Amino acid sequence: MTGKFRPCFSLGIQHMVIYQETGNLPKKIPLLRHVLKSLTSVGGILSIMFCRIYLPKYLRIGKNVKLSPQGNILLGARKIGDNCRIHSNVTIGRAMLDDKDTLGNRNNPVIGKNVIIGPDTLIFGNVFIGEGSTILPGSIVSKNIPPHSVVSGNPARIIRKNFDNSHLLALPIHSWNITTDNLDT
Amino acid sequence: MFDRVKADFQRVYWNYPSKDPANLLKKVWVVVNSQGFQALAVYRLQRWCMEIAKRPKTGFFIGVLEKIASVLQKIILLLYDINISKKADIGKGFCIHHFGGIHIGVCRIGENCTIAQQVKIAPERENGDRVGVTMEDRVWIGGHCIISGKVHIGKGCTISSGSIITKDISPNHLVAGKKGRILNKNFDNTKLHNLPDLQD
Repeated sequence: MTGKFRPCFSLGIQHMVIYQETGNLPKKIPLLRHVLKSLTSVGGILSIMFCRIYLPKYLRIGKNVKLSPQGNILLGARKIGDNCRIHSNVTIGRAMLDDKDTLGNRNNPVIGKNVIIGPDTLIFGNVFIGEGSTILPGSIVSKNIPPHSVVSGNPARIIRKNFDNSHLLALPIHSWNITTDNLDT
Repeated sequence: MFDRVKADFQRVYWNYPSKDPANLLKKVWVVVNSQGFQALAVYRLQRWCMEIAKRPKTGFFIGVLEKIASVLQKIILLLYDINISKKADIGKGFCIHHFGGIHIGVCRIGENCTIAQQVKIAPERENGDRVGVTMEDRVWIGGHCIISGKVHIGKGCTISSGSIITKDISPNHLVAGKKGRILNKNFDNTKLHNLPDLQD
């Protein structure tokens, strides 16, 4: 699915851009704000339909983050840093079982810069993932991960430390057309 | 069929708390926003058509409706990646959170159960027949779970996210991990279900 369907896949990003801009708008123009807010909610539904990507309202995402066009991605993180790669079938969300702080997004993970998240992974709870770490496919992460480490398995264990994943990030993947390249936030 | 769909809608609607319950616009908004409910409604339509087609005298209309329902099911699979087999027997008040990678094969599910995204429920072949999972009432299953084979899951069980279940679970247990380790033998999951009768 490339070519003329390409704009469909970036709907999720459009939705996110519109949302982040509505937060910064001045309060003097309430009508424009109202229109943009209704646009975001429609864009959210369209992004789920066409890209199968769910981006909640509280998410703050960095520059040049690449998401897989295969979809099934639920990004319930507080923050995602620059230059991240997120593959398909990834869930990032809050822990339902410990009901200490269910209100707000304090129980959601924070993801640093240059992180590669492989397919079929699940990251949940109040977790910090350090910059430059690599999460291998099929791992389930519920604990903090130090920077520049490689983790895998269920539950995820650190299998290598001080791993440099810059050559993995530099791989040209042309089918990955959902980017936040031209975003200045 | 209609009372079952109503019960499913009640489960979804109680996830969006509001002060004025009789608001039609909000009901439409909830249906548009909840992908799991749309998939379930199509599944209920398919089951209803199957039940009516078994009768000796069936009209031309039911055949057309069955075809429409199967096309709708394909559209749901394309859009949201939710695949519920029409041979699965699901009780009323079923709730699907989120979307994506949900595959439910031949199985028997009780009332007021909840599942999340990326849950795979697969049957097992025994003497040529498919024998699936049997679930009692009020079972809560987290995301990324795989349940396969001839497994019996007791009443009020809670299965944590990311676990793989291949053995029986007794009632009111909380299990987690790839081997289905028991964490708690008497866990109360009424808060997780968010049931309307338990809210107030």
